[in-house]
Amino acid sequence: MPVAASAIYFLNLRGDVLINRTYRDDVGGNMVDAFRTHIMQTKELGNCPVRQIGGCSFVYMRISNVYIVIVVSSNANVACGFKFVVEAVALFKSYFGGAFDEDAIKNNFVLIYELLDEIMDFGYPQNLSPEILKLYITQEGVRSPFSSKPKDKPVPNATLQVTGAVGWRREGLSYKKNEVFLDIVESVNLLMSSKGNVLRCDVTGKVLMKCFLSGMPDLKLGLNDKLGLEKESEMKSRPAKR
Amino acid sequence: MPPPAASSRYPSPSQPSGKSEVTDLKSQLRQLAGSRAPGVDDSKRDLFKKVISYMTIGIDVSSVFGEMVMCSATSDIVLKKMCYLYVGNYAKGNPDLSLLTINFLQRDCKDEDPMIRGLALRSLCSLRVPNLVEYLLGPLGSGLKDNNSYVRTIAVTGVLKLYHISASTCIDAEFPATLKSLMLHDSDAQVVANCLAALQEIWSLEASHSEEACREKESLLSKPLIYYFLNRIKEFNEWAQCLILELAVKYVPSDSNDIFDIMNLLEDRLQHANGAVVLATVKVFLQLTLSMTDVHQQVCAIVSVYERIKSPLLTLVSSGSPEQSYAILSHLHLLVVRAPFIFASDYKHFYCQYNEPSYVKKLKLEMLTAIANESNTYEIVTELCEYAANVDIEIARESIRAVGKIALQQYDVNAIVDRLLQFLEMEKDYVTAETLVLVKDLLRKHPQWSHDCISVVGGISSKNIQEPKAKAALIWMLGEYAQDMSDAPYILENLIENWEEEHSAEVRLHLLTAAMKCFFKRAPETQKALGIALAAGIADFHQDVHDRALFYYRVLQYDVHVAESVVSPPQQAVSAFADTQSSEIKDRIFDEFNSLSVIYQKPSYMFTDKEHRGPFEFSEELGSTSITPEVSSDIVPAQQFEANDKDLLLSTDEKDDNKGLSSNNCSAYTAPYESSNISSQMQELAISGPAASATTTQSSFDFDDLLGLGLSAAPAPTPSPPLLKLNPRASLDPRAFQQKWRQLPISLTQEYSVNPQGIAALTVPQSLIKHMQSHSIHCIASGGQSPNFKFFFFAQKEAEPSDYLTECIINSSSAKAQIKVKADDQSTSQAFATVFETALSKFGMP
Repeated sequence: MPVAASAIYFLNLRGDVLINRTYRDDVGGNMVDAFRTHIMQTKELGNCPVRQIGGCSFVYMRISNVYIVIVVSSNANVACGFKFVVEAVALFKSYFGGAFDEDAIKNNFVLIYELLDEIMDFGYPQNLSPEILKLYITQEGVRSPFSSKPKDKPVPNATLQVTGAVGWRREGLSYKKNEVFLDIVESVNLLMSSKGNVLRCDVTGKVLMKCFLSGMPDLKLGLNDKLGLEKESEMKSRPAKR
Repeated sequence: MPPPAASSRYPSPSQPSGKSEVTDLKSQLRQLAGSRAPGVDDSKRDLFKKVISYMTIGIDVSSVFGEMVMCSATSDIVLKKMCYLYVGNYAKGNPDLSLLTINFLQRDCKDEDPMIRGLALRSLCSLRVPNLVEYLLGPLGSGLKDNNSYVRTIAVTGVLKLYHISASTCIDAEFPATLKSLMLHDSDAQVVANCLAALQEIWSLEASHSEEACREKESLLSKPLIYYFLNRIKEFNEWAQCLILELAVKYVPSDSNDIFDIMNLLEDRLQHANGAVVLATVKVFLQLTLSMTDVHQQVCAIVSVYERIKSPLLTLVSSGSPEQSYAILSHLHLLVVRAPFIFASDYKHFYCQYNEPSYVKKLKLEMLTAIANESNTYEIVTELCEYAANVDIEIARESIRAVGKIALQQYDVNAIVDRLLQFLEMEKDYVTAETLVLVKDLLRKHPQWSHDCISVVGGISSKNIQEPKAKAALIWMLGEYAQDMSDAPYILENLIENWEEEHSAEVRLHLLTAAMKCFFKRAPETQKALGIALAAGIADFHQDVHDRALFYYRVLQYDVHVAESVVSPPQQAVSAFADTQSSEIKDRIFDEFNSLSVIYQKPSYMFTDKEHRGPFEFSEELGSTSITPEVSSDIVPAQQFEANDKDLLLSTDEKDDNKGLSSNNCSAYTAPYESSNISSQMQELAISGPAASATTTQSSFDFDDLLGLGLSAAPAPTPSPPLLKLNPRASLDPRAFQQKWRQLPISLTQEYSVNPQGIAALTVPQSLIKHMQSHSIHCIASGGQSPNFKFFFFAQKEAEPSDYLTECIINSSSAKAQIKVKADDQSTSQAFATVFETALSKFGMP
């Protein structure tokens, strides 16, 4: 099983539990105390983010002033666990209007419960794409008062899409003109010593895309690179997440 | 969902105390319950929100249960959701009250809105109240047949939840069969994925006692099913893809075409943005190549697979949060260690960046060490030397160690030695300390470098070195190369004069040995110092120091030449330092790729099985957490105790057979210790000694005087504790043992070292048990696998029925035994421990 998470905890920097959800009964509620004494109070920076205490493993991340802790009791898939936390935070941010911190959590208990129930069921991650969840989560984030979508009227067919694999795109889109706009933004970072030696340099790039395509087409984008990056550069933009 | 135990949180003074608010809420809810005025829903929503906030911050609002249920008769989905949430939180604590909710949940399961149906079903399954199981069957059955996929998804997980509440009900209702047909025929990917997850879990849990479940579990791995999933893999979301890939790992392909088909199918998964999917795919690839029969083909395939997975993994490492890249790096680390040559040209990817957390840096340093070879050593070592000036002391140390390790594994160490010696000139305490340890190791392997090293080491003032390990290393060098360092005896003398201030036993041991070595090379200069050292050593309170000093004293007394051959034999270069992990363990970790095992770098049985974790780790954890104002409940540790004890009290015979086997194929006993070499040599000598002793007694007396050691320095016998007689035919039945063990407090915890013969004898099943029995200490249960063995012993006083219960954990790789004693009569537990130790120390002796 990838991650049969037993529980997820949100703690503040003092170690108080802000909110938690227990998915399975195989860990005791007091394991979080062990987490507090053994991990948070050791004050060692750069502690390993996966720790075993007692019979449980704690997979945790710190995001601004909140610790997010996933508790697992078996030999779980760590990469999956971290990815889940990252995606969940992205999801929360999209609800809270960009900020994810202790206050945002305190203002949104009900919403977080709702989300936690939908994104994970009995320890198995379900669907985490903000686009889809927004269609049927009833609460609104407190931080985003301007996005006054008509709430508590679930969009028709919402549940049909909930389970779809293409989470980021609604079905049945159609446009008169089929167009795609692409922006490629690259930045070069360079670190140079006072003597003029290049210590480190790298390039990071983004492909930004505005897409007006009808239906669910497969779109392949090729980047021709004369420098000979060859195959690696052939990247599929949208279906890449499939 | 258990109530969020109010007691486990810190109530902060600013928080409302709760009582008055809750009564307030209660009356407001009651007012609203019957009202049908317009807008009443909005005020209800606000109230519900308040209730849930209170619940979350730890105020017990279970008293408004009734009112909440009354208010829930509404068509407003927002209210319903909040109500479900509330019910889910408090149902487990109030089974009677939750009966109230069954009615409306069941009604909601038939609502026309699929969302309400789904939510109600999920809440119903999440109540986790065993006696309400019968109400689940109907809604679950219809949920699985619902025409809306959202409801089906929830129903499938509901079946799994039901299985965990009551396995027999779930099986009797034939839900697994329904799930199977759903899995094969449902059009919705998430439903299929949940079915797969549920079935895997149910069948692997059932498999232990049902043959049919075993067969079903096997059938999940059949070729058509695997291909059915893999062909559709793109329809699933990323999490479900992980699940499917994990299943595919267990599939045994029929031939090489099969292998290549699967690899081609999954090729593009390596480009996925989700690291978990990529890792799962990598695991499939690795397992597939391992299953190849043709060896030549396999080697080619492994190389090409490594080449192929390399770039996606390296890309993932540099993207995403540090935690994510840590997870990926740990796996990469495993691969790098297995096939360093493939990554040799990518060493730049493992350079540390200043903003990375230290756990990432540590891993990277290890990888740099692993991939260093002739072509890249220069660059890597240059980079590592930069890190030695790092502000993070831990990382600076690690990088120096890394340089040292590279030096130890390379043939051409010339340049590296220069670098190391430059470290000594940096004049930072920790750098010097680490470097000294390394120089020592290097000299043990490459004695030819001694001249360069010694000249630099000789310039270091021993006063600047505080760390025991470094001090010990310096002292070792002083002793070993006394002839090359002009002032070695005087430095040693200085150190010996400060014997009292030396807190580390390790340093004192090394001082003794170094003084001896120095004495053999430059007797006149060292004689006085050695005398002081031996006197101080013999009077030392530390057992090992005392014993070694006494041994040196006696062997000098016996014959100086023999002493020299024992203490300072001709140097032998160490060809390779012992590997800490056996290859068997490494393979096991590799089999558990993409799991916690890789992160912890130990196979899963070592941290998931209770036996290996050590039974009371959990309770100790709790003990130390008790600083918190309220430790919420002791019920859990008690259960844990019980579970452990039950596990342990299986029949001893059964377990011993396994244990014997497993410890044989594990190279547990490697002692890369210098000291243990010496001690074994000591024993040899002690045995062969007496024959010649008569001739040399005379000379040894002279020797005494020479050393200025009065006979008074001879050890006073330690006062022997009151002897404890044990009843050789004591008996205690396991149940009584268990009970006593739970009741009595630990009266004594001690650690002993076990002699190598004892460790060797451990591999024979039952040997320790029989041995202890001959000392009237009886075994009631035993278990564990190499290197950790655990025994429960009991003994009874000869005269009176007073029991001693002992838990003994022996770690065969560190040669340590840890015992915990519980006794009826606490005052004699020390005496018992002494008896126990004596008995244990004789174990393995002929």
